[in-house]
Amino acid sequence: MKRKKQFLLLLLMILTTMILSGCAGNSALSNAVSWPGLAADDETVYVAYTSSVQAVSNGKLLWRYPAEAQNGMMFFAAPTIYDGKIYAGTYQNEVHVLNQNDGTLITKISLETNKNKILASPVIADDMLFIASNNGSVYAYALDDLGVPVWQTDLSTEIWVSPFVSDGKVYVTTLDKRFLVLDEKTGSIEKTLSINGAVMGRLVLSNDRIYFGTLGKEVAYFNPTTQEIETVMQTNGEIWASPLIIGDKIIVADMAGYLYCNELETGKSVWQIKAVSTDKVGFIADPILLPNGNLLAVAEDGNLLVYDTDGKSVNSRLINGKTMSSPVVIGESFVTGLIPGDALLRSYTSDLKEDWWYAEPVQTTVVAPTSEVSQETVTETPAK
Amino acid sequence: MWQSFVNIFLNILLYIYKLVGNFGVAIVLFTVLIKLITYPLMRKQIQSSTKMMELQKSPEYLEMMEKYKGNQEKLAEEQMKLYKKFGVNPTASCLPTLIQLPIIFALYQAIIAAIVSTPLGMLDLTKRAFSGFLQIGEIFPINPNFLWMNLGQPERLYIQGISFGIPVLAILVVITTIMQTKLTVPPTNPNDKNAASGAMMTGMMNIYMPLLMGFMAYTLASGLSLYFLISNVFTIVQYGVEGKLNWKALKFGKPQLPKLATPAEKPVTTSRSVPNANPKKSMTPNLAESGVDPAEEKIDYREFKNKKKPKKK
Repeated sequence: MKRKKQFLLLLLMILTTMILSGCAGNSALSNAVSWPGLAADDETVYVAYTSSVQAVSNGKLLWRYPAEAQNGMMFFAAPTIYDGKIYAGTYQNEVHVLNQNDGTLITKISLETNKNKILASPVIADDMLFIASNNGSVYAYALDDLGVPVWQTDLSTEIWVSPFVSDGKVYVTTLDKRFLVLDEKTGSIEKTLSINGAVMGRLVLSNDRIYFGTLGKEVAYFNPTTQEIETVMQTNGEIWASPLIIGDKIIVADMAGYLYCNELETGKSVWQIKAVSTDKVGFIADPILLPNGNLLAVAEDGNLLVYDTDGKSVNSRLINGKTMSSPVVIGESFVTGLIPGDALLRSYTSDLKEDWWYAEPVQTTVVAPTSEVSQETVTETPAK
Repeated sequence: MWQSFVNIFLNILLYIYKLVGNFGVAIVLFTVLIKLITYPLMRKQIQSSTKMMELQKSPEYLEMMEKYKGNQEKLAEEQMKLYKKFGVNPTASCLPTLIQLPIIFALYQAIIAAIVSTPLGMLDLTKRAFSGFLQIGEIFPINPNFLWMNLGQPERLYIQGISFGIPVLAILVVITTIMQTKLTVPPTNPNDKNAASGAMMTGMMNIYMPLLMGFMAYTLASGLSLYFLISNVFTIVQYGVEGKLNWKALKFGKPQLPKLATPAEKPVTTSRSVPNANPKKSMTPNLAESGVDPAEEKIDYREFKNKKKPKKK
């Protein structure tokens, strides 16, 4: 009897621990899983998502890196394409430099500790590679020597957004609501300014000003002349997506599902639309300008919404999957990334007619690559 | 449903964080808040345990035990009648413990959800925040550091010269859990088979609970360990306020059992025929009245089958 009770208690202990560990597992999963980061060049889309970077053209896989999923290797940030190379940051605080044509690994930059992640796309400017890590540091490498950084600047907290390089300065935002100006050559901090919320989207340059939206429901810009942050407009919801600047107008999409068009100079509202009526659904993906001159706003729930520049609804289409990835334009079409839908990528024309789609292939044969040697992957793409 | 429950915890936790600006302090305050909310239950548990103990010491109870010792079913039936008569709920003491479980699970999920490290985690957090109650943009990012700990990670204290991290919080959780279980469990009547069985369970709990809590504190997020620690300390304080701390139990080794009444040789009929208007009074054993010399009072080991009889002096 006593043993039975002891056994039951032991079982209860194990069960409790398993349940709690299970909870941790779920949370860890939700922390680890990302959405696809897209970049495009010519007719090819490069997608960084979970365990690989893939090159896809017209719905067909060109290459996949690495050929087989490697333990702990995760990609999130949209890859950077430059001079025939792909620069992709990992969740192990590394940047993998790949051959754009075949996806072979050229070299790998390992930052200080593999416990941190690279969530921001690397930036290339003036023959330098700038990497922002969530360990709170910005690294600058000479493109012809990726072994040792030219400089490294440690900031106050995590960096999730790509630095912006312009006119000898590196502009960085940190999660603790700071906007920093660094010297491009030395990395020294020249200016630190407070902003009203963390920045999640890219920094956008227009008229020598650096524009950004914040989780503090505000669009602001850094004015290099006055060296101050100035507010453009307030929004109803938090802002994740980068603003889109078209001529003298700024287009902003917020997390409450509103779209705004304001005058860039004065911040005066031109139009405002409640584009998504579903509760807790808004815009994470950046709004883009389509090849036909219309605006595309992609809501989280898979709603593709097309407006003309006057804010009039032109077209819409609901696709199966969640769409947090910022779409990219290829020729006359655009490509969007989805989770967890039946396809990873879907391409549409400007009038929302489906062009092609791509689902992750089932790998059948993998020839293990030797170091820095090409790898061959035979794949079966599901029938469309 | 469960998610909504977790979200309530998360929002309260984040709101406290917004007020105090420190996630560790927020967890401490949140724990105190939970303990204050469940205080009436805890009080009921303490009162119920006390009543139960007094009942088990009463001649009426002991007499019943003696009378029906060969008939378990009848014994259980009579026990229930007696519990009812004296207004004792034998399950009342389990309720606060059961309530703790969903709180622990929900708090754990809330802590993990609050300390985000990726954009998807952040997006999830914004969805969980009650927009009218909390502006996530104002409090994000949440600083998970408290003293030497990262509250989203298992805690270890690294000291110069020692190659491994010391799990200080896990050790404190084990110590306070031992203290809590020992200090708050009232002494049982060894003449009572059920109480003896309960004592055995308590003994096992004294071993397993600190181990379980210690293991969880060692392996899971230190924010949860902090909750365990504060919760244990607060429970001890609560018992102290009620004057129910059993300090003698803290002495290690063979526990000293209280001297208890044996059943009266002749059945006490008055208490059956004329129920006392104040049952509390009748439950207090009056050794003088029962004709038993307290000094010579002995434990009736016949109740313990398969156990050694005491050596005669």
